[in-house]
Amino acid sequence: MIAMCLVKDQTKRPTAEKLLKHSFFRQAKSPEYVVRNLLQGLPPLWERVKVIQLKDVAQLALKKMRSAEKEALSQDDIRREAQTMSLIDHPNVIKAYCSFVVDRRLWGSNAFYGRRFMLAHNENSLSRWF
Amino acid sequence: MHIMKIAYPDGFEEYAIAIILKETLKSLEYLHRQGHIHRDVKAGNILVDSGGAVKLGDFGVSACMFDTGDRQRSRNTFVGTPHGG
Repeated sequence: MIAMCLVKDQTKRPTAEKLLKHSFFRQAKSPEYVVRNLLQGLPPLWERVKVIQLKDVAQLALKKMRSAEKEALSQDDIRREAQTMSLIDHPNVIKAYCSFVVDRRLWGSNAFYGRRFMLAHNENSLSRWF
Repeated sequence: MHIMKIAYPDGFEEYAIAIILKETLKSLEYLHRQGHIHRDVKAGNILVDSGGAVKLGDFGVSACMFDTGDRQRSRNTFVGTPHGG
């Protein structure tokens, strides 16, 4: 299945629709399986975030530098992302409900966990918090 | 990706991969039908909620096949995450 996905020639690579019919996915069980076997016993979300933050300090610093250096995304790009997200509607895709700009920052809300996410934009860098 | 990093450093078992990948593919199938391409599908952009529901996020570098001009050209350029996240 993985080999099929890695074929360079896109005309010979299966589409998402075709790939779903692959026998590998016959073993896919219900989402409850994920809850029971992956999520059970995990520390609470905020604790996980803390651990990851500590682990990723070096990596984050690198990312920050990179975004400051060359990923000077324009407000248009962020707005476009928010627009794309508000146009799409599927149970397996993050849905954005609305977005607005305050003080050169673009705010949005999405349905995931009922949380709000913020896309912040300043002169040189773009950062996001989901 | 964070669930994997925190509790499953050697990766998920096949059953879990099959479910998560299947749900992700369903979202891609939908996006493609709508004319969108995501262009940055990776573990870090696949979210799992407390009910086990799988959601694809981050449309920062996505593109629409029906766009014209600049966006059209941009589909031949490299976007995504270096090293594939």
